[in-house]
Amino acid sequence: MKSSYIVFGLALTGLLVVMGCCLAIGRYPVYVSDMLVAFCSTCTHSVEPSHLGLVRTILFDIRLPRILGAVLVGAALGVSGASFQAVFRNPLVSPGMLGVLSGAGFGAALAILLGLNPRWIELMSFMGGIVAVILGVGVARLFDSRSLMMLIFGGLVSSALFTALLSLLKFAADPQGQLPDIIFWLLGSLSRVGFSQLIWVVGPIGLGILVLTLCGRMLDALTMGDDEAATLGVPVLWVRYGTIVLATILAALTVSMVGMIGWVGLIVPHMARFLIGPANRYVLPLSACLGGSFLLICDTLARSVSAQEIPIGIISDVMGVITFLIIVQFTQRNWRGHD
Amino acid sequence: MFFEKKYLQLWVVILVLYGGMYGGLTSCSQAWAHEVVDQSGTVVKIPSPLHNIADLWFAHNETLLMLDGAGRLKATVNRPSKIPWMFYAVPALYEAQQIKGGTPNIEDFLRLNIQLVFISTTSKLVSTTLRRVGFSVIETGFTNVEELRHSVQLTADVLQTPQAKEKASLYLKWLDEKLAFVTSNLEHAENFSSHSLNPISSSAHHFQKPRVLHIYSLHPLMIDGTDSLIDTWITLAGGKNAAHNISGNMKPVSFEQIAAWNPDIIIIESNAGELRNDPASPWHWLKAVQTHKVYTNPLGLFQWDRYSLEFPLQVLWAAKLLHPALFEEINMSEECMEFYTRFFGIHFSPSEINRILLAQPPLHTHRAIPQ
Repeated sequence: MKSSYIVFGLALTGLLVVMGCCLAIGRYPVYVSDMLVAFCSTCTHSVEPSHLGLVRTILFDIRLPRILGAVLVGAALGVSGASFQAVFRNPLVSPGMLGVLSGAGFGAALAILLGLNPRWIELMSFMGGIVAVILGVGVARLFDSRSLMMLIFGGLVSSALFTALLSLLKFAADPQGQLPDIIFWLLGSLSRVGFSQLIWVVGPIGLGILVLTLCGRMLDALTMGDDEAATLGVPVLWVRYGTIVLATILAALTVSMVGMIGWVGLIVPHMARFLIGPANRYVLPLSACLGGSFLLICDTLARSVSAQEIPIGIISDVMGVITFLIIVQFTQRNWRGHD
Repeated sequence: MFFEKKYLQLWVVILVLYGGMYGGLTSCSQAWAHEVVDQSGTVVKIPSPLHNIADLWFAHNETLLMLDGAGRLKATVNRPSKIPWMFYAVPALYEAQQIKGGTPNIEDFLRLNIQLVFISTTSKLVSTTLRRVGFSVIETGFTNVEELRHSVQLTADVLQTPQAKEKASLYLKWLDEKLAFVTSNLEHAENFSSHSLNPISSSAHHFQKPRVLHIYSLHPLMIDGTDSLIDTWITLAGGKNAAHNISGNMKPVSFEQIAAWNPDIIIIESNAGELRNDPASPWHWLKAVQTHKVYTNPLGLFQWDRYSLEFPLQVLWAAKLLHPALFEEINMSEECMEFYTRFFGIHFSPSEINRILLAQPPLHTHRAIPQ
């Protein structure tokens, strides 16, 4: 248990270091001396000359909200993925399992097609994600409300339906303006994240992460099987559906903020388990730290590698595949060691 | 067993039906007037008489309208909401079927008796499908002046009317004149500047090419880089593309990258959104914003800054913007008036011209056509 706290402390320190480094990295050259002066002038509220004003704007209005947004979204996706994997007792499950990503994508595309403003795009994306999961769970309950297999089946149905509807919207979109907007939105970007948006989502995301983390022990009991968990006094259905609802809200909030980001919800819980073991009470908070760091590194690469900003969905997919292969390699080595 | 004598009649019926369908689709009792080589290098037979045309390249509709092809345009991918001035100026466009999504329904084309389709050289999938069905397909497109010339000439060759040929020839002559005017003035100023580079007079006549950033969209932030028509007109107008390290149109960038370029002049596409320049906005710190050199691109029958016949007007407008002292005598209102009257037969009022220059849409959807 002591070692778990050490790992968690190291992950948290690592996250803070990564945040500090990412604040200094970008396409606009900001030197350490400029950063120090910018920080000092922020404290004293002094009137700054043009260059310093630009540096301050880049540090505090452009990079800082993106960094906080990346950490928040990465943490939410990590915890959401770990929760889904715990509920479904399957390490290959990701937050998109019940159709939340395709539903959110459909909602956003519909808003773009209707010419709504960015706030409505976010809201409709969030609502789309929630509706898709309600549909998935509804389909599952039609057949057998206690069966995990039926939940997966319901998720597949919902996901397929909303993917088809999304394709229909892409087909109907104006190829000159709306279609590129939809595609660009779906590829994901943190460039639209600002403080005004963060203020709205930090509460629900923070609360969701906290509640799911506190449910870690019950999720641990759930992994032993429904009957065993019930004998330990865990309200199985309440925990299962409660976790699904919270994890879905987290995933839908992230998609509404930054678009579709794959792999984070799948890969980060594996990284956490690799470092700290299978206990969900530790995996969940560690997934939040690692998810934040992972997405932050991806976003810094997306905005810094080339003059053209690369959609973060592409970077996270590539990084996710590489990380996944590395983890599989290490895990296999451990298995061989145990044999 | 299917080749037995009793099935012979059935086979004959099937063959006749198949032959009829194939012939119906491929020839439609079509007579062929002549052949042209399109911009993809494909030899295309042109039906005669040519009455029904579908234009699937947004930018090419304008060429067809200039060369008196409005009456033959039966299907278009353009919409009044995107290019209101084109529909306002040529209300006949409202009669054409608007194809949504850029991909046509072939049966719809057959119903409309479409004989020939203009399509962008980049839409290979659609052009191949249409050719396979039997339509005459002309691939056209341009990203530089030479290709623009080729596109106009090709369209005149397809239409084959004396008016189209004469209009195309007049337009190409006018294009050369306007570009030569700007180029020669800039060369003269550049030479004068380099000859006067001595310690005493260098500051007075120093010719500098301002760094220009063209913004396609503000949300999401997208700009136009090199190897594009935008880069061509920026260079022709005596500027340098600030986005020199990005190639192509409509590329996403971060605000930080724009701050790193810190352009002298920012030109925003007509429907890109509004650039906030209040002190709370990050844009406020950029040189172009602080020196009040942020401009919205004019919007004519098509977007001037994209693939339009207004390309020479765009060069004139940009040259005057980039080097106001050098091109003081250019009167954009007069140039516009002359262009639309001469090549489209449209007499815009001074207030309408003003709206075009300010990238504002027309006040009405239809123009009152004088009797």
